Amino acid sequence: MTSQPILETRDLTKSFGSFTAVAGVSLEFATGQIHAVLGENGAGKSTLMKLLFGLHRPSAGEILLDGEKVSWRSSMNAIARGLGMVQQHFSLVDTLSAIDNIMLGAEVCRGPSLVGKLDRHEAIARLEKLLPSRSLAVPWDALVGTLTVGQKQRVEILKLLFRKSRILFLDEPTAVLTPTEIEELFSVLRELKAQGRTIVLITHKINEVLHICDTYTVLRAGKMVTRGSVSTVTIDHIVESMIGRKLPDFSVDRHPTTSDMVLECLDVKEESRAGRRASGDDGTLSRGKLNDISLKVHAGEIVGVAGVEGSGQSHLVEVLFGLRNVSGSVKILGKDVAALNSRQIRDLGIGLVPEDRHHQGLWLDESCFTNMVIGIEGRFLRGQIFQFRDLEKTTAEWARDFDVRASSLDLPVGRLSGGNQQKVIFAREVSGRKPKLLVCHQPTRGVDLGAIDLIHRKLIELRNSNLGVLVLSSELDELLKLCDRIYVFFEGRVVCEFARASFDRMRIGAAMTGVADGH
Amino acid sequence: MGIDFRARVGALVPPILALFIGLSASLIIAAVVGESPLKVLEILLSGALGSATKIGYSLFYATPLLLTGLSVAWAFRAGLFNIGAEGQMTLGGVAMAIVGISFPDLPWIVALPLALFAAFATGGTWGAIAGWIKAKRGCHEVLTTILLNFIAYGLASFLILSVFKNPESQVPETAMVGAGYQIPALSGSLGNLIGGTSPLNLSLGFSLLMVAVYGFIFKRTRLGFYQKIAGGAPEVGRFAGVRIDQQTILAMFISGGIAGLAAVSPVLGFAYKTREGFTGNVGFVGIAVALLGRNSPSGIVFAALLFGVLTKGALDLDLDTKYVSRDLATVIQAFIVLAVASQAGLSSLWASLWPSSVSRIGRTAK
Repeated sequence: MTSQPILETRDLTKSFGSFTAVAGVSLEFATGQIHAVLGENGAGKSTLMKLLFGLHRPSAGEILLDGEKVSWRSSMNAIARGLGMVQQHFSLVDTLSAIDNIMLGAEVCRGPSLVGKLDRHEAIARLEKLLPSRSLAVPWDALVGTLTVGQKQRVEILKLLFRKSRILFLDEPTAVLTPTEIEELFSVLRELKAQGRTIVLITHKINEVLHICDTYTVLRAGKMVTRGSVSTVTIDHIVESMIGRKLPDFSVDRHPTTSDMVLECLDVKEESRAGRRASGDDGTLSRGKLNDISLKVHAGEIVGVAGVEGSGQSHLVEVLFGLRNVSGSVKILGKDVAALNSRQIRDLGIGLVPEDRHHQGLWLDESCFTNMVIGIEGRFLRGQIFQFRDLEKTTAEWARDFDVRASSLDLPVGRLSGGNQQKVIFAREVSGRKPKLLVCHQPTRGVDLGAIDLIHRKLIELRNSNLGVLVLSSELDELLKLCDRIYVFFEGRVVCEFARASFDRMRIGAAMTGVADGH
Repeated sequence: MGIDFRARVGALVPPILALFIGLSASLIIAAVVGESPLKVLEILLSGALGSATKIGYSLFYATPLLLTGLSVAWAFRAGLFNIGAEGQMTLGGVAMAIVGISFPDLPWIVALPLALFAAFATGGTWGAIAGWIKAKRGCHEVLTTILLNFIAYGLASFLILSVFKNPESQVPETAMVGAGYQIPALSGSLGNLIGGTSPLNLSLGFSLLMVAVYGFIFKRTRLGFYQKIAGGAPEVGRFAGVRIDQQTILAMFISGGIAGLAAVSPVLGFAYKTREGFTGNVGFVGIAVALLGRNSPSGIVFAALLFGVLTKGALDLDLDTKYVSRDLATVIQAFIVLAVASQAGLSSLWASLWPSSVSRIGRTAK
């Protein structure tokens, strides 16, 4: 590669007991380039980063910075030497201004350090000198809580620049951004690259990031399987390296949609102070509140809800399942659900794959068997008493339907991989419940590519067998691939609706940020 | 199977360790104040287990602990901390006395179920108040159950002293319950083989039966399943259509009801009337029983028997030692509870030192 690499690892290995999380990884990050580190969940990306940042000590191998061997005593050493990371989940104080957040821990003070006066002007002046262009600037005095997700991410990047980081690691940087915001992020990254900084993107979203990267490194099961220059590689090759096999083409027949309505929402609106207590309400600002939502799902149709997270998707799901009070009407399979409680609504024949697998979907300490009967345990009861033999036999069949891979279904579901956990939920909600309407919220979040492929195929299969499916996802590509129609949510409203024939990534992306173009 | 067996054996280690730590710490204290630890241990053991009568007394003291331990354990299973067993038991005892005084002539086959039902309903209602406040208003049950205890004491005093008072007694107690309500002591049965001349009575069998029913409910029934979901994964239950608020109220009702039943041995099996303060902290010791027994049926039986033995054994300390008194039993209990509590603390401390200290950077999606 070019010149001397700024950061290099040689046979880096980290074992935890008998488990080797990172096995003999040798890689180089050349100065002033953008590098992609790709791999599925559990491929060893996180452990590798922790090694680079001194949060783990290597079991074997070495790390070289500027050509010289380093051994970090703690992450403070690594940061002092110019490494910096933007984590996927931002660590910002919402109630402080942008500039205060940037300074936090490296404050510019006039006078003695503890009681000195914060010199924000000086901090801003220093910062602006560092900026490649105005595109990275944010309103310095605005409270971080009022910024958009894209701006918050820029604050995180600015924090690193302010600390003179030379190598910027970004963990899943595109996960929470809209297509427009992603483009903005990429132009910022290009400018930083032009300044001579080295950037490492850690991600499993190949399609989104690859074109701005110079090199790629693929990890699988702790080993580096391939690396090279982006200019000479195909996406298919990378996907194959990531999962260790070829994914079959995703081309499926779509049966025609019927006209039977399985879900109809009309003018659904949250009153102020709506929402039942104890509903796990996150104290959402008004932007997540539903405002005159009208939508329909027919049998044999996959309908998508696109939108930045927190645009009302979670509230909509709670409304559909009777967990949140609203005005307007919600009809499921022709029945108005206003007078029904959550159990009665569920028993109409409606399945749910909830957003938060670990809290809403699964009881992690309990066995797969147990998890597969939550909410539908009635069919395994004689009187009030569980019939375990029937339960274990039947749920094992459901697990087979969705190819749940576990050495035993007696295992606590928390020990399964993310993909298998999600399959357990699908097995329960589809094979177990046999619904007429299936609501999937972030159906493939944190799920490996193989399981994503399986889930997507199953959804199309269900659609073709005349099920109505509502998919709420922040992965636009997923929606484009699956849906017959897409509603775009923005600040609790439906801003527009697209039919499959008129899907357009950029226009849907624009609508997600509130720019409706009257469709 | 192998893993299962190892897990079962592994589960026994913490409570036994807690017992060992609690006992050793207390004996060290005894030694510090000048008493021979061996002598104390010997008095404890012979005092509690030295004869059929002494064993009978130990079991007699263990009987209400089985039920208050069960009460607290039920709430724990449903994710709730019932500190109100003391008050619920007090009111349960008062309810038994009221029924027994108001309908004195009923035959035992009607009388006993009626009294038990009244105690369960009363204790349960008292618990359900805290459950309702929690479910509808979000006020923590630890706070409300403690406060409800004081109201229960006051209410019980009023009823005992002003309404159902025993006119022939100087002691703050109710009149006697009818003959049909009186559970006879086992003494004399099988030639004093069981329980010697102690007041041990059939309430023990009833309490053990309740523990078994508890085990069955949580292992095999829908009720137990819902209660466990409410405790272990309320959000999962909520999205699956389980009404968690109802489960919370129900859990506190049942927990309070079981605590109300705990009055059966001291009231219907021994005094045949309800005295003020008859509970003697049994409701609070129930928390220790549930903790030490880890909410499992066999664990509760083990812990209740252990605390019964400690209570009885410690009585002789007053007479036979110079420097320690029966309060040593309380000290031992306190150390055991501390040991149990710090085991959870220690393991979470361990967990926080080991993997999560390294998970600050590069934490993946979930």
